[in-house]
Amino acid sequence: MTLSRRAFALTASLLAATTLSLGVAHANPVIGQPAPDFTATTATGETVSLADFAGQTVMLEWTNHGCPYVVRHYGGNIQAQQDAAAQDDVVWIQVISSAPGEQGYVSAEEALALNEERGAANVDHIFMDPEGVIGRAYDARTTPHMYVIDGEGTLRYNGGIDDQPRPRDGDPDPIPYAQLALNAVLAGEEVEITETQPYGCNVKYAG
Amino acid sequence: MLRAFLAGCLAVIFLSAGASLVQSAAGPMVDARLVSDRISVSPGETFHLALHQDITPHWHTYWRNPGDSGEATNLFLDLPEGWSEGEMVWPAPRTYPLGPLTNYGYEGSVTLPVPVTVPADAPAGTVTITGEGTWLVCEDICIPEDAAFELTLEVGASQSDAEGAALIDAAYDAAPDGDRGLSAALDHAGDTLVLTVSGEALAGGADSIRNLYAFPYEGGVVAHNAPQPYRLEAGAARMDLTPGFLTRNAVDADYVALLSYEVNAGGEWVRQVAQVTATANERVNDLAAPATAAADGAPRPGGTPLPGLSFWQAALFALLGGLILNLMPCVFPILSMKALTIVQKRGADRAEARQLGLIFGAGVIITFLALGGLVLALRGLGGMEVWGFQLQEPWVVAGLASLMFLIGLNFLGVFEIGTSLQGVGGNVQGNDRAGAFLTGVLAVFVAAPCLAPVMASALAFALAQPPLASLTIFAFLGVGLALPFVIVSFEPRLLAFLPRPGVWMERFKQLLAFPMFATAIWLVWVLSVQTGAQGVLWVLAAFLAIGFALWAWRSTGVLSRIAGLAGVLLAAGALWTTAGLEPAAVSAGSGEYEDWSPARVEELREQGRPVFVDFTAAWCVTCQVNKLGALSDDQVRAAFADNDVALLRADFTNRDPVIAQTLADYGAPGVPFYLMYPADGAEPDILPPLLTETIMIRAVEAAAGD
Repeated sequence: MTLSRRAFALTASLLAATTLSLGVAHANPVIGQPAPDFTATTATGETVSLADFAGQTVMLEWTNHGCPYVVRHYGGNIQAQQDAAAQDDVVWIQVISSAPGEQGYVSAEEALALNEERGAANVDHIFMDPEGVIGRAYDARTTPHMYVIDGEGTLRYNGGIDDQPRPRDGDPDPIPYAQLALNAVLAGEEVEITETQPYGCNVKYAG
Repeated sequence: MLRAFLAGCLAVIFLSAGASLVQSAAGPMVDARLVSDRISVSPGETFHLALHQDITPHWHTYWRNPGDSGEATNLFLDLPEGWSEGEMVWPAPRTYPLGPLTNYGYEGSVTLPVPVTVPADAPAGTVTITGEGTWLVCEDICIPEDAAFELTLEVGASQSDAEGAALIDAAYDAAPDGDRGLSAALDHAGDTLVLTVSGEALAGGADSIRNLYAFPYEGGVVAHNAPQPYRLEAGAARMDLTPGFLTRNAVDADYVALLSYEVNAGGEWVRQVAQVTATANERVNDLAAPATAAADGAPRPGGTPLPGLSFWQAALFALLGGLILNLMPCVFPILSMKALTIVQKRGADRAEARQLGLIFGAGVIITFLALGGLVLALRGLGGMEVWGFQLQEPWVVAGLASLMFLIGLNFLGVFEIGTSLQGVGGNVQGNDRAGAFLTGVLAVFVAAPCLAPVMASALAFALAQPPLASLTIFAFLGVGLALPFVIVSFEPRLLAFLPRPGVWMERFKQLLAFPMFATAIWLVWVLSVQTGAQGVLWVLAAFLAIGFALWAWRSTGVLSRIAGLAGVLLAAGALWTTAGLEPAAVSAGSGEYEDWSPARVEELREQGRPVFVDFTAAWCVTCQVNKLGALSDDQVRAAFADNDVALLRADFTNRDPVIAQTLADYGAPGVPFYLMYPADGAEPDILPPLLTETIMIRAVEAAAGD
């Protein structure tokens, strides 16, 4: 057409910007495939992406401190898992996808203070995801919802933390799916159960 | 002292409640009690105990499969020695969309019965049954609640409890009572999970049955938040479901689901439910894939908004998209045309300029609303709902080409509309208004093909919404498109940026003829793809007749008027013939690209090759930009070759139900649309509508598994 190159380039970049900000692509994370990439702002103000953890095993934990299921696991269970993981140099990441005004939404300071209160000393990063971008990329549905990513960036586990979908008084001897997957990855073995139904409160997404 | 007082209070409460044989324990959000359908049971009989919940409005508790989050309600009964309990009976749930998640549950009140069998040798007398209920109740937040119950029953002659029996009967009525003679099977078809159901219960077909929805008893069988499009014929249904993690790779078990649908009983739609067991890897009928979503246009129980966009965000993006459209190549000529009108009005009556700006805006918005209404109507009919479709009609393309040609001639000064109408005196204003309105209408029609890529998300959102919300989105697109003109017509200071009137104006107007002719050339090219050489011949004949008619009209006298009319008739005849032409078979395959078909995709994937599909159309400008840009880039083509990527092209220039269906399956409102199927057989990646070399090379590498 008669449009000048510059006007065209402008239009094209506007188009691209709109398209990107709309985030058209929507794919579920797939076991055995590269885990969805992310660029996250952490509670300590760093900007990190998945590539920064190359060579390290990553545990992603979606959390909402007001959710009864999260409260149950922060009765000691999850801290113990975090402590054990730290021994094996696992990068343990909490993700908070609650939108502002929704349950679980906290400021960076509050998020750090919460971990201090709960004695969750071995959380390496807290991702602040109030717009739910990372949550949607991972199709995170509940709190807790756990993902294990190996050192090559491949998704190895997606699902519930264990087989006890109740807000309190779980079986004293649950099947800790996420921890089993993590241990298998650390041992260089195949993960036996790669996907389970996550349980808990729904992630309080924006919109 | 205090303790004694409390004990006394408790005693009073227990005694009064005990009189009705029902104990209540109120949680903050759910008022729950244990009910029985018997006051007195006889040895050997089976009766029912039930957990009844009165739920605070807007809160809900969960079904046996809670969906994407939540937790099913539990009832633990402590029965006397020898008594046995059966499985809990679950009334049919409804869906609760929460952002991108969908849950299954109940609101208002629900009764969950458990059958209990009294042993034949139960001694007569009073028995006390205790129990505990636990449940999760959610609105925006979730609260786990529980309650302890105690209930006394007489063992002796069986005697009904009217209130408890009514609640329990109602629960049974709302729960599936067997399979209603329906057989079902579950099978994989590509990335879709196909549930086929057949039986007498569906004999009414699509005329008297609607809102089919499958609630699997187990989580992970289907993606709970995915729509469940279906095809319904007499005695048979096919539902296309999105697999969950259990069924993503294969269906390796028979799964049980509650099938819910509404039946037209004398003008009233009544919900019916059946419990079906779907046999793995089979089909009970061979119905084709469903056309689109619920064909009757009724809201789907599982309908969820597009993830990522709230209503107002979508409206804002629609506004932004409308603004961007002003810069698009296919709107630019109209923009020029309108700018010209404003320039002409400069120095004239400002109030009139404002009025014309507003009328133009109204024209744009009303046309968007009309188009939106049309799309909604077509969606309701289960027809084509893909954006840009009006340019799939050869007569629309030929008509627009002729119109562009005509406007171009007008700009060149071949004929003047204004001068000839000036003589009509008082009607001038009215005609200017009509002109402004029509310019608005035209702007939208020409903008449509540019609309799809920009507004993919907002449109997908609009089309998935109730009619009123969809129309609002369409209206906002119109507002965005019209806004710059309305602002210019209102703000004289902006007008001051326009050059002073003078001889240049005539030159400027003449110059604007060329974008018009360019647009006409583009439309003729679209027509050539649609109808082949015949269409081009006839539309050019129409141009000739239009030119002749205009020339003849310039001179006065009966003869020239007759000649002019003859020219108009010739032009109309030529266009009429164009409209009657059969669309030519479009061969999408050219050069490295093969013709697309779903079967060909399957075939190539079985060979383990990555497959790239380009959904395109001649009338889609962005498609051409991608085709000549990123897709022709040497590095991209080298990447295709190095990774043995199979290239397919689906041409949507003419109507094609298979392509329309595929676009709908992926929620794409139109073309351009690009799919990259990875070599390992996983779900395809959807590429952005505007491609760059980097995007393409990354996509190729990801698909090849590098």
